Order: sequence, then C-alpha cells, then structure tokens
Amino acid sequence: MRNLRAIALITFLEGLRSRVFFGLFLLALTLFSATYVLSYLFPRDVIKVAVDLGLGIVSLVGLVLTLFLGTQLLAKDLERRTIHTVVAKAVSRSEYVVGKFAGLSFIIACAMVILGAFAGLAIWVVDLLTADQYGVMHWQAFVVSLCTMTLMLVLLASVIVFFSSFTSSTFVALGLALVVYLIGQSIEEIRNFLASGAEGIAINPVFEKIVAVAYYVFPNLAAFDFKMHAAHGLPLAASAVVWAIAYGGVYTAVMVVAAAWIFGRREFP
Amino acid sequence: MRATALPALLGALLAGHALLSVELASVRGAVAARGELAPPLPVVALKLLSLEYDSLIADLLFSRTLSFHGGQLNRRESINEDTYRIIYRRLDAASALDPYFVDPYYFGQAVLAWGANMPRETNALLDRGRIHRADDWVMPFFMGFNAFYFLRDDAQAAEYLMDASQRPGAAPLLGLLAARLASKGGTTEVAVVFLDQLAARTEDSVTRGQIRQRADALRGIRSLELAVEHYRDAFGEAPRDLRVLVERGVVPSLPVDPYGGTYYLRPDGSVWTTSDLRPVAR
Repeated sequence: MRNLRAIALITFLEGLRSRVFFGLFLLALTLFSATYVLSYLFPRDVIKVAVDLGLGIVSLVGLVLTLFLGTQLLAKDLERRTIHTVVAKAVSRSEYVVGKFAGLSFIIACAMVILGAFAGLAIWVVDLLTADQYGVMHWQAFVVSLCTMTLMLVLLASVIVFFSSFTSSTFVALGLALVVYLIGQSIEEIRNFLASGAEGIAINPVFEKIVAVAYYVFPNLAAFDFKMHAAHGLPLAASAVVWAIAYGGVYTAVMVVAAAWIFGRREFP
Repeated sequence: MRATALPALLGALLAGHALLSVELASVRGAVAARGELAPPLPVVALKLLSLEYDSLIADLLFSRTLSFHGGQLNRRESINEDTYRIIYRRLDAASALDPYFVDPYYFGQAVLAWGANMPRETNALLDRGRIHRADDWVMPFFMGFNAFYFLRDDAQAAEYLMDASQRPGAAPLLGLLAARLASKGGTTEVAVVFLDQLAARTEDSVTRGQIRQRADALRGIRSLELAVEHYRDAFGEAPRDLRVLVERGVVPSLPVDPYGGTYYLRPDGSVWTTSDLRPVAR
C-alpha cells in the first residue's frame, strides 16, 4: 500500500511538471477569457452559449490532457527502460499499474477542479452582466456535468493504462485510446439510429450485429455527458447520474484489473 | 554579415508585411462580399461528427448563419430563394443538434416567415421548439401567427394559440384571441393584437419597426371598419366611399397609411389601402 501511494505521488508530481499540463492551462485561460465576447454574439441565449463554451473548453482540454499525459506517464517508463529499475525494486507489478492509474486520475481530478473553477468564473461574469431574459444559470447541473465529465476522463485514463500494459509505444497507446473515445462517444447515437429504423436506408444485418457487440465492448461515454442539461437547466434524473457513476466505476475497475493482470505476465525486452 | 544587416532586413520585411496586410484586407473584403453560405451536412452525420459537442456545434452553425444574414443586410444585397433554403436548412440542423436552443427559432420567425415568405418551413422548424421547450409560450404563439397571417388557416391558428395560452407566462390575451379566431370574423382586430404582441417580442429594431408599421396600417383599417359600421347604423346604408365619413362627421379625418397609400372602400364594402400593405415607392 505504501508503495502504491509512492508511485501515485511520483506520477502525480511528474504530471504537474509536464509542459503539456502548463501549455493546456494557458490555452484554457485564453479561451475562457474569450467566452464573454463570444456569448454576446448571440441575440437571446447568451447564458446557454456561455455554458456551452465553458464546459466545451473544459472537456476538450481535459480530453487532450488525459490522452497525452496518460500515454506519456505510462509509456515513458517502458520506452526509457526505467521500468526495469522500478520492477527490480520491492514494488509488485500490480502495485505499479494501480499506482500509475491512481496518480493519473488524481491529476485529472485536480485539473478538472481548476478548469471547472475558471469556466464557472467566466460564466459567472457573463451571468452577472446579463439580464434574466438572456437565460438563467443552473449551477447545480453545471457542477454535476463537471463531475460526470471527470469520471468519463478517469475511465478513459483506465483505458490508456490498459493499452499501455501490453504495448510499449506511446503512439500506439494514444491511437487506440483515441479510437475508444470516438467509438464511445458515438456508439449510443448509432445504436439509437438503428433502433429508430432509419427510413429508406437498408441496414446491413452484419453491421447491426457489430454495433450490438461494440455497445458492450466499448464504454458508452455519452452516458457521462450532461452538458446540455447544464446549459438549459433541463430536469436531471438522479437515476441517470447514479447509473452513469456505477457503470463508469465498474468499467474503470475492469480496465485497471485487466491491465494489472496483463502487466504481471509480461516479458520486458 | 555586418551587425546592421539583420535589423535592416527585419525592418524591410516588417514594412513589407504592413503593406501586404492592407492589400490583403482589400482583397479579402471582395472575397467575403461574395461569400456563400454552405448548406449543412445531413443531421445524422452532424450528430455523429459533433461527438459530445453537439450544442457547441449548434451555436457555431447558428452564429455563422446570423453573421452571414447580417452581412447581406448591411451590404443591402437581396437574398435569393436558394440562400433562404440554405438558411432554413442550417437553422433546422442547429435546432436538431440542440432542440432547446432558442435563437434559431426566433431568427427563423424573423427571417424565414417575414423575409423569405416560407411560413410552412418556419412552422416545421418552430414545431421542434414547441415540443422541446414545453414551458415556452412563444413557440406556439409564433406558429399560430404564421398559420393565421401567412397561411390563412384560422382553425389551425386557433389550436396553436390555445396551446400557447395554457403555457406559463403567456399573455392573457392569447386565449381570447384563440376564441375569436375559432369563431371567425374580426380578422383585422386579431391581426393588430397579434402584431403588437409580436413587436413586443422582437429584439431587432429594424424588424420591430416593420412589424409596428404594419400594425399601425391595420389599426387605420380597423378604425375605418368601425366608422363604416357606425355610418351604416346611423344612415341605414353603406357609404359610397371613405370621404363621405368625414363629410358627414362620422370621423374627424381619415387616418394616414404609414406605407404611403390611401385607404379606400372595396366593392364588397371592406376597407383596404392602395399600398396593399407594402411600402409605396415615392
């Protein structure tokens, strides 16, 4: 347990020192300051657009951060062969994997808190300076949306850990994680589209089978997206949030445990 | 390389850059003026491509449409039918990506129903807003207006207005308006009330001015309709023309048509104007 904490802390500090982290924050700050100007280009739904921009920037920056930092922090040990020194010490391989994942998740959570605070500040300023006829801000839904977004990124981090457990190349891990993200975001949409019986389009039964299987293999990332609820203050069903949290927790655990298992059986060159 | 060579070169390049920036701006201006609005991708493709950013893509689609339309207006360029079709498709795509987004609906009402004479398409667009924005009385109100004013379908209009009148914050007049529409007749009066409501909800001052102008012209017609009825009651016959109303002291003077036309009596006894409710070229 102490080893695990040490690895997590090292990973966390290494991530903080990363130039990717710093560069992305500068980018986010610039974008947040533009929120004010951009929302005012709209005649009526000013607050809605401000929330769209704020949460959009947070999730995009969070995604890039997770993908790059995740692949960098894990694969670097393997590429530079520092893994030999780590594994030779009194650290079990599963401790190493879980520690890496924990450190990475902690960085993501911290980044999301900071990004979310800046987004909230930008929206708060817009909200302060606009009359109610231009929309009302729904802070509760905003916070819920930020939390589920963070869970989604932690899930993605577990996917990166999983891929890094059997590939030594940063590039391959990044590519695979990106594919999982793209499929995970679209799979629900495609499934609904097929279920609604797209008129006039002949659906190949093989394709339908593939989609059905993919829905269980890939994570349904759309389940974590409550950005539109936050923007319009739509009624948020507690069950939708709770099930998303449970689903995300189990999927993440599956990925991390599988990664630890594969990593333990692996031969290092 | 002497010590001054590089700064001198840099200075020359900067001067060149300044010159080119000015040139480029004038060229770009000409390009932008001929700018076209691209039709959107099919909605299914848009939804898939926008991943988790569908409401942000809706904002982008809409704002580009808004600025294009504004640019056309500023340059006093008329917008042709094909462009209006594209505007409609873009608004439709934006509202499909985010059906709760209110701006495309208002913009569609202002531009497509009035400017492009596309009331059917506007109502198809607004119907999405009516369903998703369940607490917003303005959506069915706009639809009712279009049905009544452009499509001349009073029964349908009454239905939409009934829907509108039952939503929170609706103007108390709407229920009355719906009832009157359902019972036929009194259309000028209904139109005046409608237009006043619409003007109050219109952000854009140019459009609001146009709506007010129309309401004023119809108010003139309505006052004359009342005067004709009054005349009929008093003298037992219909007036030959409107001037008789002034001669016999029913009204002190004839109202002025803000469009620059003159009010007159049609053979069927109804009041109309020579301007036909369009600005008369002077």
